[in-house]
Amino acid sequence: MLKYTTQEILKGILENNSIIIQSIYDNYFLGIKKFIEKFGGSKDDALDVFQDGILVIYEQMKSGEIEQISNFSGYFFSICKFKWFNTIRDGKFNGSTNIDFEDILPAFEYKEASNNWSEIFEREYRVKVYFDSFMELSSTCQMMIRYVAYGWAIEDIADKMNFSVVYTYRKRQLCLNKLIELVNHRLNENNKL
Amino acid sequence: MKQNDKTLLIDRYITGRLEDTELWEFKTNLAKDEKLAREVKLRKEIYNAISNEQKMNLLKTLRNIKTNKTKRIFNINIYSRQVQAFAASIIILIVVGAGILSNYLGSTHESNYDIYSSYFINEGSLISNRSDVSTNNSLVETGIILYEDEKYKEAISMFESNPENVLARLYCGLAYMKLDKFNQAEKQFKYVINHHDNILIDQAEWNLGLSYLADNKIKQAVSIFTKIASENGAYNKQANDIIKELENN
Repeated sequence: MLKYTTQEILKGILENNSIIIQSIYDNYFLGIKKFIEKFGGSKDDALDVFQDGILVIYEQMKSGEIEQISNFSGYFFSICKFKWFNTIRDGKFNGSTNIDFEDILPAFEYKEASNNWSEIFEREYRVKVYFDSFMELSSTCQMMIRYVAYGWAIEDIADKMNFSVVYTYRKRQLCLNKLIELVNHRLNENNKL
Repeated sequence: MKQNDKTLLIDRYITGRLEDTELWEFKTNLAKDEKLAREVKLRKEIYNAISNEQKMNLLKTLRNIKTNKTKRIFNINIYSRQVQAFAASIIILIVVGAGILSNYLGSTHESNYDIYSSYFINEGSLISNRSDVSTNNSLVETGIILYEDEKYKEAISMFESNPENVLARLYCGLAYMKLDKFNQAEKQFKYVINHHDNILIDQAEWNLGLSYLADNKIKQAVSIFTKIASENGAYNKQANDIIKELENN
């Protein structure tokens, strides 16, 4: 059992408290994994679903949608089940399954909350693609694109990174091209472009 | 540089830095050019995601959990008769073969190389950000671009044409490491360390240690990691970790 209250857990997710997030993993991952494996998935699938579950809660906390949740465990499992249901329904799961979808529909009590889960999954999928692609860049490119995203002018980036303006201009272009290429590749793989 | 470069315009539009007339013109183009509109939308989403530090940090935490948990763990039932028999056979083979093997292996080179691989990362931005050494040298900058594009041999020739430039020396060492030419890498890092008057020394020491490790020069590697671990530098935690790994190896 988690030693934290639901409110502490929700706050921990919102504040990226790695101890609390690790603790959620330690307490709930096994259950999620068993569920996913029962319905044809793998441990890797379960890890993805766990991530998505945390991201949904983070987004709902950010927008103030789930202040009233009394039972974290039930809510979290429902999101994970719903996510796996969506994955299979949308044909993103390559394995073979013989599933009665009714078994993996979320608990009825969360039906209303689940209305925007699909939308969050969709949005978060793209954010994860951007994040994974960004993390694949060299550290110089990461730094440079972060400054570009903050809206810094080329001259300021050059100054900050101790590069010449001409080099910064060229480097920025190379880094952006690489990032867009990685993003498009990932989105194309899943037909999400 | 072309000030009206399309990608720069997109960046300036997204980050709200276009002047009134530019903005009007850009919006007109945006309305009639679907490809441009798609590009702007994608770029805007990417920039929003990247500049959301809180979310990026959460994704990093989740990524770390995932990475740690996908490392394979083999569970072996040590009470199984087959496992015990297999283990006994292995022990006999090891005892008999150890003497022969040690004559030409002489070390745990592969595992040292594995440790090296797990610690060696691209350090480009750390170097360029922390350095007060000017990169205002087109050959060195071209070298850095080539290095980032993983064209290490070409990068090395650019760096080697600037033997007095410590940043070029450091990047040159990293490029040699990428090519698994550790002897040459060590020479470059030693130059940077002996140069004294720059703030690239901690990176040079750390990478010299890694090169020693990959090159199976364990005594030298331990010596330099011990020095790094005893100081309050950027790599003291990693140096401590690596020493522990070597002790358990």
